[in-house]
Amino acid sequence: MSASRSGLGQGSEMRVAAGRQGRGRRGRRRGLIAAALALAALVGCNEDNTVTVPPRPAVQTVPFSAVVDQLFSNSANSMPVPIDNLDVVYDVNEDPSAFDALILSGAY
Amino acid sequence: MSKHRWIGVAALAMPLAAFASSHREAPNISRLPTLDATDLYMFNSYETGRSGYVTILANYIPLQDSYGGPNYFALDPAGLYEIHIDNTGDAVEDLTFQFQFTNTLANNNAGIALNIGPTGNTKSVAVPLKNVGPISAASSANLNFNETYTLTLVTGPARTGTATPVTNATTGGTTFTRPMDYIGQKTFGSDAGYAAYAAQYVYPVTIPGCGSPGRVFVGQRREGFAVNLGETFDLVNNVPIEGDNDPTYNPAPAAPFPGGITQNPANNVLAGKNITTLALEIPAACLKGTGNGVIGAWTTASERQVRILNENASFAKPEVNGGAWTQVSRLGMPLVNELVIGIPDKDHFNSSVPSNDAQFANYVTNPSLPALLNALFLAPVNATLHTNLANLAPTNFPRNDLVTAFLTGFKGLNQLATVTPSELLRLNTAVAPIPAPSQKALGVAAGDLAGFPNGRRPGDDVVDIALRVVMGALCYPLPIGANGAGVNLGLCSPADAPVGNAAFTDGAPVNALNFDQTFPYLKTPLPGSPVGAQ
Repeated sequence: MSASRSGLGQGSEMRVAAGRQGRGRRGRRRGLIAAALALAALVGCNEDNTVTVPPRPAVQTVPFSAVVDQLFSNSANSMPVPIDNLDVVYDVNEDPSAFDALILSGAY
Repeated sequence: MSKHRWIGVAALAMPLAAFASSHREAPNISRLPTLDATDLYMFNSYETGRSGYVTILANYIPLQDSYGGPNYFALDPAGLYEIHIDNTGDAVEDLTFQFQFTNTLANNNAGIALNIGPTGNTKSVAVPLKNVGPISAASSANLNFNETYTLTLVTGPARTGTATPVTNATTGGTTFTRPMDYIGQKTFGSDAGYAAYAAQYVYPVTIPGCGSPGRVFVGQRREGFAVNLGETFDLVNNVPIEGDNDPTYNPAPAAPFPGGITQNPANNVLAGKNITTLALEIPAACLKGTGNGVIGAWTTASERQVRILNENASFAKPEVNGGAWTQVSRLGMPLVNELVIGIPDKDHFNSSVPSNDAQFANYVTNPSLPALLNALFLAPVNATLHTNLANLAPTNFPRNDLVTAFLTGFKGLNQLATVTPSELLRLNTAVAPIPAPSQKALGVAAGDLAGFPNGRRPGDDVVDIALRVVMGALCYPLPIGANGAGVNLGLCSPADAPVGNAAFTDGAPVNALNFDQTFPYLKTPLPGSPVGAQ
């Protein structure tokens, strides 16, 4: 069992430390993701229901965990967010516990 | 036999489309069978005493083998199943019926357990099965798994309109039970025993804003769609034109084609399958709004946009789901996503809304399938028949006949007040229903205006109708005039469709008498046992 999976020992401390160092980056990262998702959401329809094909937005590279956090925060009756132009970096590879907080929250 | 008849027959060795209505029709939805809409029926109720009602049946979970235990075929508790109604013609839903399901185990989700071990030292162990004894209309105490659902009516757009619960007209409750699938005759006693058990879950319902009650039922039924599926997929491994003077499919004096397929229920390979049906019966007055009495319908299934698998999966929480409802299945008219939409866009179609169907227009106005067939088989046909035909496929472009059939409806019959080209199943609620014994399986094409494509009844043979329409049947007069006189629709001419009058068929007959004549019309499912009962 990996340290991150058990949440015990040195690995856990390392993750906490990394998290502290990463808060600033995370804030900026969330801003970038929100912008990327908002940009992606612009691809769609006009009010008269005619379909438009706008210039393809620049591909945004975003961490998978942040995309999940962002999309989870959307309400059920909101519009799905297009993901065509997201280049997802899988930052939670080999860490099946990465979303345990979300799973255990009971919110979903 | 005329030369054109022979041409029609020779063209039959073509790889036509996969006519499976909407069973596993797109790459992505084939990965999500519990959300896969397979058929949508909508018709003016022909059950005795139910005139003035519209029945809507949305089928899900394709190709169910009745012996599929121990889990059988529950719907997706994380999914949202919807039936949408447009009664104005803008291709935007005015009414949406939403079904959401909840699965629970007995004993507060702990499941039924047995005390196992020697006396005085037993351990309580949960059983691995969904039932531990017989189940009947009188008692479901042996049922270890329960599936319930809520039904909500949304007035206005499905995601932004006003949502109100549909309630049990007898109890006022908002939770309904879906009967367990037909595990087998030992569990339920007999087909009649299962029928009685399931029938108690046909609920009278109070629909918000509707003065008269409707009915709802969700449960397993016997598959009603009839198709010669295997041979059709296998490059049409038969000669799909009527080889007899069947009174429905090729009535005399039309010439039968020697060697052509003949009508045989054994050709319907889906006859041994079950399906899961979401059934509604609603007063027509509560569906048609302020429009012209024509309504358009489609069904969809959606999931939340994000799903995270639980590394410690349990019955109660195998995953968490969040975010916006994201549509993965869509079905209105049968066969459109199979016959018309190209593979790259099939899942896109499943995620789309009718008001944006202009994006798919080229698939209808300039269909690729007839052109492909023409390219592949024109030369062999001409060589075989010593003819010099320029085309086998219809040559009228844009294919306004297909636009009418699939996207606008027929003016004066099933066209909404405002015409927005969009793929809907359209029904004129003012056309009187026809009793089952008098219905014609080829619907409007046979002069029965209460049948497909004016809505769709279980006994309408949509495979054969679609075959004929794609090959140009609407370019020939239809027998819808007085006393069956032919009427030219003016959409195209016989010269446009050299094989448009051939009696195309897959040889899998279906008619209204194959079904019950009371709600929910589709028959009691096949039992999982004994062997041979399927």
